[in-house]
Amino acid sequence: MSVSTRIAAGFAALTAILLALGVYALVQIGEVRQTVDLIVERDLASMEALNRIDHALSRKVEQRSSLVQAFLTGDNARVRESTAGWRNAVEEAQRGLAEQERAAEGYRDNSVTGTRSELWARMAQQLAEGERALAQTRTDVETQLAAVAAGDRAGVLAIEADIVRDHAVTVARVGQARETLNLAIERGRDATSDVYGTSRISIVIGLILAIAIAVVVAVTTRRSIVRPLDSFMTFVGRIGEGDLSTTTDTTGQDELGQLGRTLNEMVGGLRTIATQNRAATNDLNAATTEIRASTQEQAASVEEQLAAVQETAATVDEITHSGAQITRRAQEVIAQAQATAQVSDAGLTAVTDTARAMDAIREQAEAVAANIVALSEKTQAIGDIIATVNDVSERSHLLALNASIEAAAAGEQGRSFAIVASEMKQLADQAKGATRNVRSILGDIQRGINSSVMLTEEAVKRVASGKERTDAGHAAIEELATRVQENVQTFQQIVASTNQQQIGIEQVTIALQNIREASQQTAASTRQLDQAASDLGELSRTLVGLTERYRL
Amino acid sequence: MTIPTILADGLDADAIAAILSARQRAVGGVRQADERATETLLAFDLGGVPHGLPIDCVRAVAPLPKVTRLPGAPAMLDGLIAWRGTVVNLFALATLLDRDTDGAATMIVLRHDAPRIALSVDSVSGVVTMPRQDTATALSTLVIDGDERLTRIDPVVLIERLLPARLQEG
Repeated sequence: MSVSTRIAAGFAALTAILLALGVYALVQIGEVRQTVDLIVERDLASMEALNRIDHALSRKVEQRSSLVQAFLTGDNARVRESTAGWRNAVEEAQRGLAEQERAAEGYRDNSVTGTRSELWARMAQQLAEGERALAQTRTDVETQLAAVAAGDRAGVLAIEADIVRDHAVTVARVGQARETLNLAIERGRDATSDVYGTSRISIVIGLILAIAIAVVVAVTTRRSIVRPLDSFMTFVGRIGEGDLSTTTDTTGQDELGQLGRTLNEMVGGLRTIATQNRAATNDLNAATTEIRASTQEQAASVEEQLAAVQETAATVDEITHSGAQITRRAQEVIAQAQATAQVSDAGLTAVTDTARAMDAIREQAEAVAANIVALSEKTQAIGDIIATVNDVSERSHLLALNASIEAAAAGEQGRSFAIVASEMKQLADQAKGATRNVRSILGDIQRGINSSVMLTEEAVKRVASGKERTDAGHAAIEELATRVQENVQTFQQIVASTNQQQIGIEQVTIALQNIREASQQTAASTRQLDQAASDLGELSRTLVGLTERYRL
Repeated sequence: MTIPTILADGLDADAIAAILSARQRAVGGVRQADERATETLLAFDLGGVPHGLPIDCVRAVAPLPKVTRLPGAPAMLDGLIAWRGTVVNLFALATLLDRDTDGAATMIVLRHDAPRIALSVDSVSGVVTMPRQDTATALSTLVIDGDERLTRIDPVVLIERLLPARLQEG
C-alpha cells in the first residue's frame, strides 16, 4: 500500500469515527428532547385536567351551598339556579374525571418508563375511585334535591353528612391523583437525566476510541515512512562519501520502494560514469605519456630535418650545374634535327618519283594482260576449229572402214577397192594424228597464256604492292620529317623549360632557406610542446588519484 | 615457264615413222595372205584391249546414235537404236565379255537380220589380216601374228550368246 493511500486511509478512518460519534450524539439529543417533550406535554395536560376537576368540584360545592342556603332561606329561584349550576359542575367534574382516566390509561400503555406506567395506572385507579365517590355524592345530592323539592328540611339536613363525606372522599381521591402526578413528573425528570447520562458516557467513550485510533494511525504511518527514509539517508550519506559499491533495500511497490529503486539506478549510473571516468583518465595518462615520447621523437626529427635541408641545398646546386649542361646538349640536338629534316625532304622527293614510275609500270602490265586475254580468246576459237577437223577425220576414218567392209564383202572384185579404202583410212588417221598434235600444241599455248596471265596479274599485284610500299615509305618519311620538326620544337621547349627550371631552382633555394628557419622555429616549439606534455602528464596523474577515491 | 617448240610441218619424226611402218605392214600382210590361210578382221578397242571381228559378218560401222532404253531388258542389251530407217538391237559387248570400258562411242552393225544386231565398242581402229584360227568354236580366242595380238570374237557363238531364245526354239 502506498504512503499516500495509507495517509488517506488513516484520515478516512478518523473522519468516519467522528462522523459516527456526531450522528450518535444527535440521535441521543433527539431522544432526550422527545422524552422531555412527551413528559412535559403529558404532565402539563394532566395537571390542567386535575385543575379543571378541582375547579368543577369547588363550583359544585359552592352551588350546593348556595342551594342549601337558598332552600333554607326559601329563595326558590335561587334554588333552581343553584341546582342548574350544580348539575353543570357535577357533569363537568365527571367528564373531566372520565377524560383524565382515559388519558391515564393511554399514557400507561406507552409510557417512558415502567415506573411512570405504574404511576399512570395508579392515577387511573384513583380517578376511577374518585369518580365512583362523585357518583355517590351525586346520588346523595339528588336525594337532598328531592328533599328540597319536598321541602323536607330535616331530610335535607340529614343527608348533608353523607354528602360531605362523599365529597371529601372525592376530593381526597383527586388529591391522591395529583400527588401521583407529581410523583410521575419526578420520575420523568429522572428518566430524562438517565438518558442524558447514558448519552454523555457513550460520547465520551466514542471520543476516547477515536483518539486511540488516531494515535495508532499516526504511529503506523510514521513508522512506515520515517524508517525507510532513515535508511535512504544513510545510503545517500555513503554515496556522498564515495562508496558506490552498495545498494539500498527496495521492498514494496510504494513510493519509497520506487525511491529505493531510483536510488539504486542512480548509483548504477554513477558507478558506470565513475568506471568510464577512471578508464578515460587512465587512457589520458597513457596518451599523455605517448605525447611526451612523440614530442621527444619530434625534436630528434627536427634535428634530422635541419641536416637534410643542408644536404638538399647542396643537391640543388648540383642540379643547377647539370641544368646548364642540359641546355647546351639540347641546342646541339636541335641543330642535328634540322639537318635531318632537310635530308628527309630530299628522300620525300625521291619516293614521290618512285611512286610515279610504279604507276607507269602498272599501267603497262595491265595493257599486257589485256593483250594476253585477247590471245587466249583467239586460241579458244582455234580449238573449236581443231575439234571440227577432228570430227571430220573421225567420220573419214569410219567411212574408210565402211569402204573396207564393203570391199571385203565384194570379195576378189573389191580387193583394189580395199587398198583404196586402206589409203583413205591412213589419210584419215594422219589427219587425226595431225589434229592431235595441233591440239597438244594448242594446249601448251593455252597453258602458256594462262601462265602469262597469272604472271602478268602477279606483276600487276606486285607493282600495286610496290606502290603501296612506296606510299607507306612516303608517309613514313613525311611522318619522320614531322617528327623531326616536332623534336626540334620539343628540344626548344626543353631549353625553355630548363631555363624556367633554373629559375625554379633558385626559388627552391630560397624556399630551403625558409624551411631551415621554419625548422629552427619548429625545434623551439617542440621544446615548449615537450614542457606542456610534461605538465599534462602531472595533471593526468592527479586526475587518476582523484578517480581512485571512488570505491566501485 | 618454257613453251615447247612448235614444228612448222605439224608432224614429228616418230609419227612419220609409225605411219610408214603401218603402211609397210599393210602391204606385207596382203602378200602373206596368199601363202597361208588368213582372214580379215575388223579391229576395235574394248576397255583398252584390242579385239577383232571377222569383217564378213560386219555390215557397217557408225558413230553411236541416241539409244532408247528398254525396261526389264537383260544387262547386256543397251536398248534400241534407229539406223538407216530400221530398228536395231544394241548390245554391250563389254558387258558380255566382262570388260571395263570408259564409255562406248562407236557401234558395229552385224550382218544379221531378224533381229538386227549392233555392238557398242569404244572405238574402231581399222581392218587387219590375221592367220585363220581352226580351233574349236569359242566366243573369244587370242590371235597372235608376230608382235601383233588381238582377241578374236567368233560371230556365230556371239550371236548364239546374244540370242539364246533361238536355241530354245530350235
